[in-house]
Amino acid sequence: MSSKPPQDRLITTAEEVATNFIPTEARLESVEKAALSVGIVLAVMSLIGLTLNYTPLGIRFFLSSRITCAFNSGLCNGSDN
Amino acid sequence: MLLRVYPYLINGLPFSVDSWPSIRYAELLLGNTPAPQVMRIFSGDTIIFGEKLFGAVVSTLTGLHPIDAMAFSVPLAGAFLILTFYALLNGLYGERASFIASLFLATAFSDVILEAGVKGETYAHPLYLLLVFLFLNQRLGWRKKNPTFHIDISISC
Repeated sequence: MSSKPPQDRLITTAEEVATNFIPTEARLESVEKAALSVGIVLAVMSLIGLTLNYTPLGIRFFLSSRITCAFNSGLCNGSDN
Repeated sequence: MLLRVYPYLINGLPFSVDSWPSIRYAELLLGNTPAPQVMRIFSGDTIIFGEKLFGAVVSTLTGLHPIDAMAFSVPLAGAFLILTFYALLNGLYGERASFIASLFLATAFSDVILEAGVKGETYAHPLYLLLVFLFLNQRLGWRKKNPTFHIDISISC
């Protein structure tokens, strides 16, 4: 489990998404991290919508919110390991 | 960012007449979901549906009508083009040049008008520039870049 407090985990979720998608030893600047984070979130949101559209439940609030939370939580936990 | 969002904040309606098809498609998508034949909903004549899916998900998550959700969220997403542009140029030409170039891009009226509406270009521009940024960034070695990420962004564009 992460040692970060919950509010820090929420704030850094997008950054950890970027870290998971683009593993690199190089240190990125904060501007580059921000650009990567926002871009990845934009791309992933529409892909979640496209995927949900092919499920029997469709794009509903219950499924959308759960999958978005699961996606973020999974990537946060993945970055801790 | 404010330049791209303020037409909606003033009028309460999405900027540009080109916004209405995208919003209507998102409404149809939400009304007919699940729709396995998503291209039939998009009438088959459009291949850019990233902003419609994005708007549908944002509308679902926020509980707002697609008109309100998309009129604000899509120009807001398009405004991050400036940030990506700055990050791209910062690695190539330094801080000062990238700041001036980003300022020009942020205040260029043609780009502001283009990105203030709910259009496919508004949503695709930041993603396209992000792809360019990934390919040109020297610190992200080619072998270290995750190919699935590029495929994801390409599909979204």
